[in-house]
Amino acid sequence: MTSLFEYLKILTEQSGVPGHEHNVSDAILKICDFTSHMTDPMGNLICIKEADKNAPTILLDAHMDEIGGLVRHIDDDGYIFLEPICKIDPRIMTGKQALINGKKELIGTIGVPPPHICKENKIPKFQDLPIDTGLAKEELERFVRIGDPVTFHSPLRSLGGTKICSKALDNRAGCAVLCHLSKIIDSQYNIAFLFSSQEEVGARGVQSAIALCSPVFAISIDATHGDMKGVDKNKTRVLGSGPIIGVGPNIHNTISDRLRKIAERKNISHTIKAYPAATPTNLRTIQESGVPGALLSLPVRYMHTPSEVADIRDMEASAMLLKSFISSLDAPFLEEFSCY
Amino acid sequence: MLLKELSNARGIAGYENDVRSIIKDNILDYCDKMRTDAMGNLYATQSGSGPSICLLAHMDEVGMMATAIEENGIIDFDTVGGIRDDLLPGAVVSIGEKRLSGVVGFPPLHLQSKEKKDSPVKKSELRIDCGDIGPEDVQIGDMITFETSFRSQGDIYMGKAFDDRIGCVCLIEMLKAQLGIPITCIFTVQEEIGTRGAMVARTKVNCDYAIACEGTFALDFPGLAKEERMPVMGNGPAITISDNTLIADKLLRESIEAAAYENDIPYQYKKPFAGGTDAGAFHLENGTPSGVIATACRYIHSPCAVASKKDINYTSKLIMAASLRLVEGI
Amino acid sequence: MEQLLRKLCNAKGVSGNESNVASLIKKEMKGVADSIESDSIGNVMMTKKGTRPGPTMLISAHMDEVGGMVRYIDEKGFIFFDSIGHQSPSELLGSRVHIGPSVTGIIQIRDIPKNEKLELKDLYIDVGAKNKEDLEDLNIKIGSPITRMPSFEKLLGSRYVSKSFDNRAGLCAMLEAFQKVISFPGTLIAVASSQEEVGTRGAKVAAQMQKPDIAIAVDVTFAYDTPQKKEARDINTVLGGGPAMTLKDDKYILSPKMREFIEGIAKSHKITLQYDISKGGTDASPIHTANGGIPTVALLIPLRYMHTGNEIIDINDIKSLIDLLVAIIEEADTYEY
Repeated sequence: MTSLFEYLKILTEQSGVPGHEHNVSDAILKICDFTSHMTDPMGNLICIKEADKNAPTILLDAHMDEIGGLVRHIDDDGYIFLEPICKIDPRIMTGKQALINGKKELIGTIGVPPPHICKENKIPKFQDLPIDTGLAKEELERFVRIGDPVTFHSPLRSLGGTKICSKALDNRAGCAVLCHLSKIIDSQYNIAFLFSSQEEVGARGVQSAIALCSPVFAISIDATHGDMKGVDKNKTRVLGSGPIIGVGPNIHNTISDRLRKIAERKNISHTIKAYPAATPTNLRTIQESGVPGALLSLPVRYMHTPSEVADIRDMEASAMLLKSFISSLDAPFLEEFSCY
Repeated sequence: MLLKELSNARGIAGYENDVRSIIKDNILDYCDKMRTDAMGNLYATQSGSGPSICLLAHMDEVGMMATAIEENGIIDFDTVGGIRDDLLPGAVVSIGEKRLSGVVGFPPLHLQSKEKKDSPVKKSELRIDCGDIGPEDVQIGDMITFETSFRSQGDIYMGKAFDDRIGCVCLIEMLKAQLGIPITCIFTVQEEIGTRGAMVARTKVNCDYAIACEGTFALDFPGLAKEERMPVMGNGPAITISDNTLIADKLLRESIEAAAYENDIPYQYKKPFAGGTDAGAFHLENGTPSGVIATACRYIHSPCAVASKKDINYTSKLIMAASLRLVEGI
Repeated sequence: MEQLLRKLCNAKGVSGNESNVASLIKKEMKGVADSIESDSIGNVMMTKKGTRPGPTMLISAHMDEVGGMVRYIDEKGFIFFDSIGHQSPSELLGSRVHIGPSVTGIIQIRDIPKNEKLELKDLYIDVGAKNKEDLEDLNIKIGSPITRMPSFEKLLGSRYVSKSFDNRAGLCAMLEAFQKVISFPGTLIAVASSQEEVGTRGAKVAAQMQKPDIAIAVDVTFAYDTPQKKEARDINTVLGGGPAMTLKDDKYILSPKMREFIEGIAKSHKITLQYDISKGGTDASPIHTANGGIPTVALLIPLRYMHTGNEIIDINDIKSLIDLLVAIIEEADTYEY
């Protein structure tokens, strides 16, 4: 529990919009000591826990990137305007703080005129939201230039019980699980930990990374929607109810069945979620690359806002499930994929 | 640092205890007399000869209050003081005496209907999520404030509650300067919900002049036309000509301006007929000549305001200079 | 260079029908490239060996243009068509086109109620035929490609107007740079790619087959310096401001490392760069994810009135892009792979 929280604290602090994940991958390498790792031109970080050169490789994937934007314009008064990198609700931007990751890290606030002056309640256009660092244009331009990445500034906090709140829990929570797992597993197979880039813009990173690993199968761990007030309960899973095992045409039954069986045998609380269409995750691309895969999701409330909420117990349970699953692997199971 | 301590302190209208005790600790050694009234206003007096001046700064900030506790750590709330609804989604807040962290939850776009996606945020639809809490952790009526850490960046400060902790800082500095003139600094309560503290305070003191010291809005906002941008952050203290509660006493205002001129303090005017302050309450008691000197901060009444270090300094200086000039006689 | 540009612009090459452009390129580049090959999707690939060992660099500039395809011919010989690539129906109305190799026609509109939105299906082409049979004699049939009339012309100063500057301007820059470089590391592969306007299909195949170590996509982008487009807050790519480097579009994000590399080269050669954040995508999108990820940059020529019959460019932008391309090719081994 403590180690997971510590990892999360470090990981969520990092700024990593798609295409600019290097801070996150550096942090991961500091947390874990992998025997070998590589980065590729897409920004993926691939860490191998090698058992035997000739043994098959199993891929575990979690994407590192988070939603955010790039500096598009700095006006004469020193206000910064953004180009969103993925779809972000402009209604959650106002009043929040942003982290501008240029030559120097700066914090800006996304302000609105006070209620004394402006009573209208209108949805702003994302591109019109000004970020104010308080610095004059000339000074600002010493540190910030067009194209620099911007994310929310929202440090990790504990809420009541085991719940936590931060930006980017989608999917630093998944990264933290893999970091934790890398320290507790032991396998006769090679385990490739893929911390992938550019998922939020359409699983671009995993597309190139999968070619470098050639795994027998893959498990992707990502965030999905947690229970929220006013949202259809069938579409979400309760925080704290454990990892969510995905089933559907995108997911290889052999793996998801085994995950379920092991969760039951080891008494790890879990839920099942059906994905009748393609899963909106890296897994889709993994499958399209010809690698069978499964999806383990972590419930996260208020996804893609500065204050995502997750339960640390779900992350612990996911790590436990993956550990038990991997130690249960044997040759007959690995052969089963191509047998229908 | 005093402003940091005061900005990070929590106190909505009616819950100003923490702020008041920080102020008390800081001024105890510098006043001849210090007292509070039943409402919670704090009076600090320095004696001297000449006309007496009341200086006002309010201790409360805008925030929220828990109005119902629903299941699973979900809290219904209402705002205390003017906060735009659209600032709330995703905000991190601090709840009650125990300072529990919570967030104003907002469902992701993926799960919103087309209709919901296109409608502006409504406060009534929002709830605060504070994780797993027990029945004792949060009570109806608990104070909720924005959880924003104060920071210094270049020439500016960022933080919450600059309206009116900046005023409090200026008054504390005034007391510390011990100018030897007859002043009463009143740290008022409940300004944000209709200058209620000041209405009581005005009956408790006798003074010849009243000056409110404020953290007011700065309007150098990108959407606004240049001619509407008054005041602007960084252009010195903003002097009120008139607002919704007060037309500043002309002689008093000219005296403040003269003091600024004599002391090389830049100043500007606040946009007329917007907002209101404790001075509005004060001038209605015996017609006490009243005025307002304020630091123009961007985004007051939001989770994170921005203020210029220079402006705060000048505001503090101007209050001292103006007070001295008033005592010498207009 | 102006001559080459004129020839390229006047050539016909709707997506999937690029053979005219392809043979023009082959003719022009004969003797310059060590080898010239075509592949089955229609790409033309020119290879040149460097003077020292080094990385394999791929430059891709698409040679297809937006245009149309005959969809239906009515009894009276009026031709209805589909658009290939995105074009505005209101801009098409009244313009002159070529169907097949050289049959001239004009685009007109059938009667539609007032206030109704103009749609492509309401447009038809009149070639002056008396009936359907006239067209059969001319070998115009369903599927025949439609292109704009050649319209290359010099405007004031260094500016030019033509159809298909998207992307013959980029293609011209690539070919000129390919001709110019002599002393460079590794292998240079210049790809005149096919079918970009319908979803960057040719470049995808080229990147997979060639397996380069580093890649450049050369294309055009919107210049926001016209009266109706000027918006202070946008990234203002202007005509004559030099080549624009894409920071982000809908399908590609520039890596910080590549940005430093290109900016360094541009600076040392005193070439002014502009930045581009735009919608859509270029050949950079399929290339950068291919083959385990390829470090890729997209360098674009600013252009006004994209996908119309009268696109305008500044020839100085092409010239400085050529200089930049030559510099990048010559210094390709200084990138940290």
